[in-house]
Amino acid sequence: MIKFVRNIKTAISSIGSYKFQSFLSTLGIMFGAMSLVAMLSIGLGSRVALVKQLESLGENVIIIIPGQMSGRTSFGSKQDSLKSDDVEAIEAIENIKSVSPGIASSFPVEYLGNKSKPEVTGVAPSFMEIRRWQLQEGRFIEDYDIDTLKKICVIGQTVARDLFFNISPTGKSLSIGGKDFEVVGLLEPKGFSMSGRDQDNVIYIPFTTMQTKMLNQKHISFALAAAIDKKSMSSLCENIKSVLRECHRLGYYEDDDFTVMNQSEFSKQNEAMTRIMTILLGLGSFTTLISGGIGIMNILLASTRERTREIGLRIALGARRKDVLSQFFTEGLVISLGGAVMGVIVGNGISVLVSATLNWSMLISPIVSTASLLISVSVGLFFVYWPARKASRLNPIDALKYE
Amino acid sequence: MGDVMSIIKMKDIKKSYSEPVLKGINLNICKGEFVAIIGASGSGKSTILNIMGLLDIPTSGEYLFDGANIMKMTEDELANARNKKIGFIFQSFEKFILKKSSVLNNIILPLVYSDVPEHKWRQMAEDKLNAVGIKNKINNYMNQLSGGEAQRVAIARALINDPSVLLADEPTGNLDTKRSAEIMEIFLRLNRQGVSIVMITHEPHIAVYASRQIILKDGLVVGDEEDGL
Repeated sequence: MIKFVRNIKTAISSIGSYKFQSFLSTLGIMFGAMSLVAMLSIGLGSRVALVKQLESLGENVIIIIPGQMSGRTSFGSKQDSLKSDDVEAIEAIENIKSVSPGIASSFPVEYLGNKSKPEVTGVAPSFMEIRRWQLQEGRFIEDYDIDTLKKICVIGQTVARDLFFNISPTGKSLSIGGKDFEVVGLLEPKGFSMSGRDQDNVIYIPFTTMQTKMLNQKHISFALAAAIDKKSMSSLCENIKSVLRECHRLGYYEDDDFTVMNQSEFSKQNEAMTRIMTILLGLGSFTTLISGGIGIMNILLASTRERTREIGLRIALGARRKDVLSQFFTEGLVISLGGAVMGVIVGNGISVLVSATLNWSMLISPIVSTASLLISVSVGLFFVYWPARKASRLNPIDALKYE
Repeated sequence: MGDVMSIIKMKDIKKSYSEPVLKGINLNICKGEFVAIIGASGSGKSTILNIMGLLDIPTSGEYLFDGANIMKMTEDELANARNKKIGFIFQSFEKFILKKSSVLNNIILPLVYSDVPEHKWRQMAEDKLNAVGIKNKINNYMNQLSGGEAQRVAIARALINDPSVLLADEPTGNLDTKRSAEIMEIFLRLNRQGVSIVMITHEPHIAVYASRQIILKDGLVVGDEEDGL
């Protein structure tokens, strides 16, 4: 223990004598640790957000979108393939509890000169139940609104804040795309999605109103279906596919012009995507860390050369090979640890900053920080070993004569 | 003098690198002696000092250091002996000091590898600096000292562990006549206090400070005279 403390003191004293070299080494590890923390925070944050988002979607929800997400037909090639009639056909399938069409668009919205540009979606009354969302005040869209093409709307918190400030919006009339709509309800706050989308910057209107009075179109952007229970979800998806193929009169050799996904498939796809993202980001920062490690190695190798006579002197004065090895190793440890601690602090700072300014989901956790710290120090020590070993194996006579 | 008093005993020591450097050295240096090894360049002076200082191993022959056969010692035992029993003073002393460190940190360097408790280090350093006459410089940095003062620090460092023998390689090589004489006076005083000294030099006026002069030529001892100031 005494020797270890002495080694630390000697290392700090040597680092003090070679300030610039030590600073450069520290910088390399610092950047590595910093990017590791930031990247892991982004990657893991996205996954956590995704899980939350999927949980909010509900386990028994099936998503139907036009076009194909894979296969020969590229995504989005048939964006008008889903119609309101398809929704009715899906609703008739056994074990389907409810279905809601969704028609997404964007319109300028105004209330007494206050302007906003939220996402406006036409949906059915069942949408709220399927998405398990709650109202803060008022009511949601009802069947009567659908049948009578009522110009009513339910708004999210951001829209309420932008247009109405602290006033209760229910009962007020606002303009959506130049048409007057009555606010009948206010949704509870939902926050940001994993992609950074503000889920409170939304307005829901009856889908029939959207189709007839706003867009004049028959097709829909998506449909959400809720199963009675979460058992046999995949067979239910197959049933939906069969029904839709029939509705769309697709021949045997024709590909589906729609995509049916349940939460687990959707989750799998997104999980895989975020996992790849995390791995790529992690690899990127690990590469930075390796560069930092190689930097340390180079600088310590140069330092070993520069300090050859000092090493010879220490050996002449009684240092054993393991003392020299341990001294260089401890110097590497102090540099790596210093750089890693600084990197973790700066990395977390960047994460907080990015999270606050870009609304990215980031996971700032002690586990990420500790893991980054350990990885950075390990990389530093790995690259320190060679110069340290080289220094400890110097022949004292050659070292003393070194010019 | 008998073996009991012998600190360095060499019997037919040979050392070859690409060609023979030492061709059969027989030497017996006793405790308390002040010996100068004199010889021209290439005579094997430095090689013999490296072997004496346990930095190098002879190719053949027998070397007893303080009664121990160095051929049978492990690397760690050799390092321990260097640390506790040998004090080194190098020729180009300015190359063998930690320039960016303080006088204190330079002097205590051998103690870092010893078992001496840390709280004793400063006092020991002050005592040795006192012995070489620069006690007041303990907190100075090496780059604030003159050449003579730096060499005194090197001597104090060599003395810090109270070694059995002081090995000095051209200790006045880089000093002017006045400073050289001052260093030799320190050597004489230390020797009178019982410190054994082996000094390599090519300068006859420095060699005469020693009580015994061993002359090397082409890797062999060609003269061994007891004649000092």
